Amino acid sequence: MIDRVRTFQRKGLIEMNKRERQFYVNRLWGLTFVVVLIFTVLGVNIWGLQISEGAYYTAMAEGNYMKLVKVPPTRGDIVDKNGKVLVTSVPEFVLNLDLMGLQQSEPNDWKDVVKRLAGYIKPYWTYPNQSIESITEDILVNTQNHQWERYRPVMILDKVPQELQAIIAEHQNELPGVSVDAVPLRFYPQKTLAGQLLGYVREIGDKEIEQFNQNSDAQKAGFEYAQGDMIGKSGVEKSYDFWLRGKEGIQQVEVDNRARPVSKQLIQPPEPGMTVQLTIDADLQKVVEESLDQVIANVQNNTNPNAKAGAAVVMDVNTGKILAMASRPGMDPNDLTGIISNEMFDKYYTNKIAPAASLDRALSGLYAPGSTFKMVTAMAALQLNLTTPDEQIEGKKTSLGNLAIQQQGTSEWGGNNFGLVNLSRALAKSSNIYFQVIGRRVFESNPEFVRQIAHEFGLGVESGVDLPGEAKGIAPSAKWKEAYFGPAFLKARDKKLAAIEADYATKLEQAPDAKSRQKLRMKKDSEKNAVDVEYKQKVYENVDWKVYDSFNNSIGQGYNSYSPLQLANYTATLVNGGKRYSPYVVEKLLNPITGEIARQYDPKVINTVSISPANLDAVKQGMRAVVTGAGDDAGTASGVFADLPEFSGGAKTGTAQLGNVNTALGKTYNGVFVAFAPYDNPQIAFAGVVEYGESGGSTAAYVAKAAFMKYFGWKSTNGN
Amino acid sequence: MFDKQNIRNIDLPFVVAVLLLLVTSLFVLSTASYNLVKGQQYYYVELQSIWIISGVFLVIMVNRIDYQKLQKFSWYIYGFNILLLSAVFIFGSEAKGATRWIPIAPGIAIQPSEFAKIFIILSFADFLTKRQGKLNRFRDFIVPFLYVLLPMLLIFKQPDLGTSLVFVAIFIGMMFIAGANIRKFCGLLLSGVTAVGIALWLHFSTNLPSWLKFAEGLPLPMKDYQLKRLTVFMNPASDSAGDGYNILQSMWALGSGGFWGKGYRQGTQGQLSFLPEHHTDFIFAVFSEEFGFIGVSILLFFFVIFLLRGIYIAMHARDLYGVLIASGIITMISFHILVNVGMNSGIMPVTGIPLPFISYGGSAMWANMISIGLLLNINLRSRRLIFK
Repeated sequence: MIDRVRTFQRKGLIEMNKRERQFYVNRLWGLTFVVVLIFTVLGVNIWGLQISEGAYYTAMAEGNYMKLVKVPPTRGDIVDKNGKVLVTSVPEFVLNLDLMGLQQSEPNDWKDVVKRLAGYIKPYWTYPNQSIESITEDILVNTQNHQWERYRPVMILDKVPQELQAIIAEHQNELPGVSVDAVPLRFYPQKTLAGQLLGYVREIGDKEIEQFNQNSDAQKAGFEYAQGDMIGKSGVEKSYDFWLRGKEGIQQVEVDNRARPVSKQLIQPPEPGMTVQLTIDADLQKVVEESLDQVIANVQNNTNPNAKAGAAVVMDVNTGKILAMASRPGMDPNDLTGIISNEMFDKYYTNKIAPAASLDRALSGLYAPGSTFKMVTAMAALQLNLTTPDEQIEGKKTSLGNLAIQQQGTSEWGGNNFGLVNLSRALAKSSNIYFQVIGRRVFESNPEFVRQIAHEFGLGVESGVDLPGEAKGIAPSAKWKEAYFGPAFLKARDKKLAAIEADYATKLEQAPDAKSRQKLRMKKDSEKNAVDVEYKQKVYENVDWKVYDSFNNSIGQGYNSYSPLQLANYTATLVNGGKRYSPYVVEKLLNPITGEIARQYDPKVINTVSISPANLDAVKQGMRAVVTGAGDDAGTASGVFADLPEFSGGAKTGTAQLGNVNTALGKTYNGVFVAFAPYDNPQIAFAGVVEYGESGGSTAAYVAKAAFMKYFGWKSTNGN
Repeated sequence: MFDKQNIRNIDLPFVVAVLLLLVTSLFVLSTASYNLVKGQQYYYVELQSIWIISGVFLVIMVNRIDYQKLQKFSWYIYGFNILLLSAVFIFGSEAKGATRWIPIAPGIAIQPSEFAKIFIILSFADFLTKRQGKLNRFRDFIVPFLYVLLPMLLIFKQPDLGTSLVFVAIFIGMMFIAGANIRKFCGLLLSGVTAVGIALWLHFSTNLPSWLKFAEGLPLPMKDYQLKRLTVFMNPASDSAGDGYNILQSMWALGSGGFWGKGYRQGTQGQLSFLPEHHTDFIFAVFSEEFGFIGVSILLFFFVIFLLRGIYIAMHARDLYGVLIASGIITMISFHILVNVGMNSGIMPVTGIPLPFISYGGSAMWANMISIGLLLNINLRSRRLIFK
């Protein structure tokens, strides 16, 4: 052993002595300490992650790969009263882009993927002249707007043709995250038929979420609308959205880090939406629309090239069911389901080409009723005993009163002289003088009464129809006029008075003595007085109810404005014995699979009018006189139904002046027409407006005629 | 060749720990990499086995020569190291934005920086042996620092920040063992850390008082995105889709393992590829997810045994040169474990340092096997035989 030590020493190798070694051993103990410290820190930290916070990290890891994906249900169909399908869902191929899949493609490569995609879809893009760069930009913006839901793909293109499907499939490898999928798409097989009434479906807007969550049915069911939901934007699609949409299913998808589904499992199957059955009769609707188109075309070609719009409503007088409701220009909801081109946007939402076609004029359009309002005036006067059906009034302007009064009134139309007119003749001939005389009596007796009666008939009040966006209209009265025009003048006066006060406050302060203050006060009072006088003058001129207001109101001019739906409901109420029903378009909800009735909507009476049956009948008789008679007794619409031997009923024509006599619009008139049939036990009521149609009897009346012929199966002796 | 005397010296716990770690490596790879190559579940396991088996030959080869004989060649080793690292810039191939590989045969490339760590330990051990007892003044630290700095800068330039940091760790560890004056050395380290902190602060500050205005946005030898990658671990959620993504995924993997783990090949984070680099840098997260705290404890226990027995070997080395080689290796491997496990569990920046013996990688495995060889070499020729 000694030898060995020597050997080492001979070799010149440095051996350590004991003291030396102890120094290094101590240092190595230091290293040991550091190593143990490292492992303690690591161990404690891992304990924290795996044991203390294990549940949290487990949840995070599960959220990573377990995705709960909503499975959209099939939206319910909408059918007419006979079960004819008006709206359904058909499978359609759309091009989807999955953001997650795209972003995980290759580092920083995903913009190129979108660019390649844009190249392939350019020939099929909505705007043919857009460059690839610009399409790329659009797609990126679109996907970025959908960042909120990483696992729902974003639709880039709808109606993907087969060639493009093939191209995409061929280049699948270079297009990660891109897929062509079949989705149920809203389809309106009847195209423009009842388009505005049906509405259309698009993605929910941010502001709509709250609005839709107000829906009481949705609230009851605990359903909440969320971003990305497809909703009805108008019409029945909107008001019955909750029932149509069905219930979303939930699918659990296991995905990998590139969001590629590894496995799928349906946890909760989707429930299809209800079938909504309308009160609308599609055949009747078609007749009304075609007839309306024809009448508008006639007016456009013969009298006024501006005539492009109109509306008509056919209603069941005994229930409030709407049987047909048309608005022109027509809307094809198919145009609004996918990506909307500029051309379509202009057509539907602007008045550039023609009046905006998305507007439902029957529901939301407000028109002066013209002479169709005269029944309200008559009923008000009869009810207040201010006239009798037999009272005769000379159809001359002198009947209105002295010259100053006469100047505020309107002459008989067309310069006619109808001689002595009683109620029936007044309606038949649409005498302006008669109704101005009795109307003035009503306003002088009770300036609010006409408005009250109008409201009872649903004019100027909401009807409660089960459609979104109904117009309320205006039934004027003295109080209404004051409330409408008064505040602006009052505010202007108070502002001026306050200015004077402020002005004099400083002046008075600076005034040197009592005498000059006295002078200033007097000056101030006189200035305030002047303002007050000016105000009173303005109120007299603009706010106070005048004789001409009474005159204008009595013949349906002035501030009167109502929707065609309100006019139809008014007519229905008048002839059904005075019960105002809430109009409605949806009859029942059906289970889409079994066809069983899930919910039935019954007629709802809102109010009964205060007009006595005798008075109602007197007016109804007058309406019959409008469509009958010959020679001197011929009603204003007597020619319209002359060739229908089976016809019985009543009507009222209206020629509503669009503006003031002194403006360009003053010389243009809308044709308005209300009617009912048959005369005994009336079944249906009609109201129609043809913009720029001049007189209702020559335009809208023919739409009513077509509707009656269709509904009752009446034949024309002319073979028309 | 080993004589019988030497063999009797062998440290059994050390060898067993190494064997267990190697078996664990193959086992973990069989789950971490089985769906990486389509149709070849054991592709990486087979390759790693080749590295291990060839590595065993390396261990034997390293043991054939008495380590003390290497001491004479220290300067050659140092020179060769510099040459090798420079060669990366001439013959190297680029991958993921860094030049780290030298092709040695078609389809095979080595990563010189892995071996550079061994070379610097060998040459630096000799360098410090010669300065025994002369490491008491501040200026005594300068030359050793420059000695390590040169190869370190070459690696930093690749760029491979992780491995250059390993050099810093080796430098600190070996200086400490070699007898650097503790107070002065720690003071120096503290001021170094402070200097780096101030430099970072100046670099990122935009609103300095006028007298400091000149130093605003102080240029650093690193790009901002690199710095961000290094610091994001402090708040990975701040960039969960970018640089923080890997850290979050790794923490979720680790944490979701719980006590018992999800089971062999049952880890969703790893198997569904949410974890990046899950057969190399993030293999620890895969392991932790599937085998839980119990598995982690066992693995770390193997490492602790390995390291402590390594230190034991160092304590009994025949000479200071052996002590320093052994402690250099222990420092290196400890640092690797600290940084790798630390980054897998979200307390260390992501720097791309593999977990010794476990992560897949040929060069790293060979370098680690050479380290084992050296430790065994020191072990076999330890002091004890002299007194037997």
